[in-house]
Amino acid sequence: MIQQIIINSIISTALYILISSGFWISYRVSKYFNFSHAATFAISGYSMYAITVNRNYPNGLAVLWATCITIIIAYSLDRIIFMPARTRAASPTILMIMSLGVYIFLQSAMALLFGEDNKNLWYGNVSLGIKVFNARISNIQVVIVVSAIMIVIILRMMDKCTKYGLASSAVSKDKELARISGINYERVMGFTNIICSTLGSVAGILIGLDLEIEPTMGLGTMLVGLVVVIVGGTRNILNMVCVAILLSAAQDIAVWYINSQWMDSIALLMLMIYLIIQSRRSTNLLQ
Amino acid sequence: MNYIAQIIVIIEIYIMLGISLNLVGGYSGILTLCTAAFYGLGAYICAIMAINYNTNFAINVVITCVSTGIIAFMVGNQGKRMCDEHFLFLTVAFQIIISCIFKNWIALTKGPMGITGIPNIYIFGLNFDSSFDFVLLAGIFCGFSFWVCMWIVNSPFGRILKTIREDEVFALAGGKNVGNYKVIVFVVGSLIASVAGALYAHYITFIDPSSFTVMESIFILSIVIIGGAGSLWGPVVGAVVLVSLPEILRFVGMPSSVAANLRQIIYGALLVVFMMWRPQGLLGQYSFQKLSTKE
Repeated sequence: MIQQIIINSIISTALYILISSGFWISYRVSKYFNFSHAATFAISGYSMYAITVNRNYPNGLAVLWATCITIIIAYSLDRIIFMPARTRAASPTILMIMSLGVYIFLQSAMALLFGEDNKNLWYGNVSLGIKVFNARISNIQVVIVVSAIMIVIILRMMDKCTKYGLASSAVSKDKELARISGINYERVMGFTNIICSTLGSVAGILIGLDLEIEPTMGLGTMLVGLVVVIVGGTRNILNMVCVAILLSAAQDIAVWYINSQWMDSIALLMLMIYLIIQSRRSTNLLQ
Repeated sequence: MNYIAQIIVIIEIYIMLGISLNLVGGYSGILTLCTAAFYGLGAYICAIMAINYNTNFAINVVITCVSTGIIAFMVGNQGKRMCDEHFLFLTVAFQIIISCIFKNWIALTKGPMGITGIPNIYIFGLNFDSSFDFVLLAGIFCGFSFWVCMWIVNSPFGRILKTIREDEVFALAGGKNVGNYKVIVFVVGSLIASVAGALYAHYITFIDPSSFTVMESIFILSIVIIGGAGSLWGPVVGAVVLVSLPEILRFVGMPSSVAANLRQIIYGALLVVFMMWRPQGLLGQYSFQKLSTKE
């Protein structure tokens, strides 16, 4: 039993990393929590559903198609809605409220187009999964874990070794200084958007293949992203990984001892405690 | 006519909720997403008192206000040291935890099944059981909330709130205890929301957790933004527009599942459009742009 709990924690951690990585990059560069990113999980899931239901497309092509659709929609929304607001120097509060509006719009649009019932992306045979130390892990869950590890490595390398990584680090530290130094802020935001929507698309498709998709799946992912990004901070992606491990361990222990219905509360209690401790620490430093 | 009376009662309740958030977000510049949590707390405390202890509505409202006030003080006291963004996240976390408690503490709240059979309101021997009676009762509470808001914003206290909204550092430099002002206005806002919840519980006579989720808080935020933040009449206009809109869709003859999603699409679109072109709303004065804030 304890082995299954450990395997479940590893899978949850990987899932939280997949979900939070897009929010992390977006928050790091834009300095506001982009709620609309939560809609990309459902957009990718439903895009894949639209192409695979009643058709015999290979899964790889369907994933590519879903990812392209998600990137196009997310990038278009950023250019049409958020870029004009950023150009007019809108405050982070205004941008956050706009992102909330976009999320509600997209969530309801998907409910209208595809219905409110849950849908499954997996059409193959249901198997027992791979046995690992008296615990079971399915093939999709192995893909989730491997994808999460690859994403962390790629993001870390991108941060250190690519022009975009250096530019985004500069923008995250001081936007005005980066602009003066010649970094095109909107180009960096555009790239960020593409990367975020790609990550969101991968996460949404894997969640859909492992569990199921529904129009409101973005809300749960938004909460996870909020906790992991705010508690982990934006300085180092490994902090985000540590918080994801802590969060999944806390939730799995809570499920073991209390009830699975309190999982969301555990995550948000963690966020509340962190925010309170952080505010007290800031006050003590000022004194 | 009964149908119109029902719409008016709901509009009056949402005006109170809009006033509650407008005081905190529109006049003080502290954006929160936990109005529905206090709305739900008011509804549940009143319903539990009325059903389990058979207490009078007046006593229930007093107990609701005291309990909600204590909880709001605890949350606000922790949040007063935080920057605006972190306080918003704190309120989101609080809202979702409260929603989880409503849904999962089955022994107290009956969970997703909700609480049914909430009795009518009896005040001084008068029984408020019809929609027309509730129009009057909710109108009195709504009018009182409006008067309280007007009294606060036109007082020296209100001027300090506006200073905090426009430039928090300037308010601090002027020697004002910004934290305490924020806590006080947060508590007052939560009291108004909890009284609205008490009215809602007795009017509908059934409450369940789905009425007090984070989406409800976002809807109340939409009322304030579209009506106008920082204006006395903003929440009134916002509530009338946003509560009447689904009723207009009903007359178009759409199936309820389509109408529900279309309503949400319109709310989302309105939020985006207003934030892009008129962030201060139809009648408001505050456009969510602070000059400086405590980091």
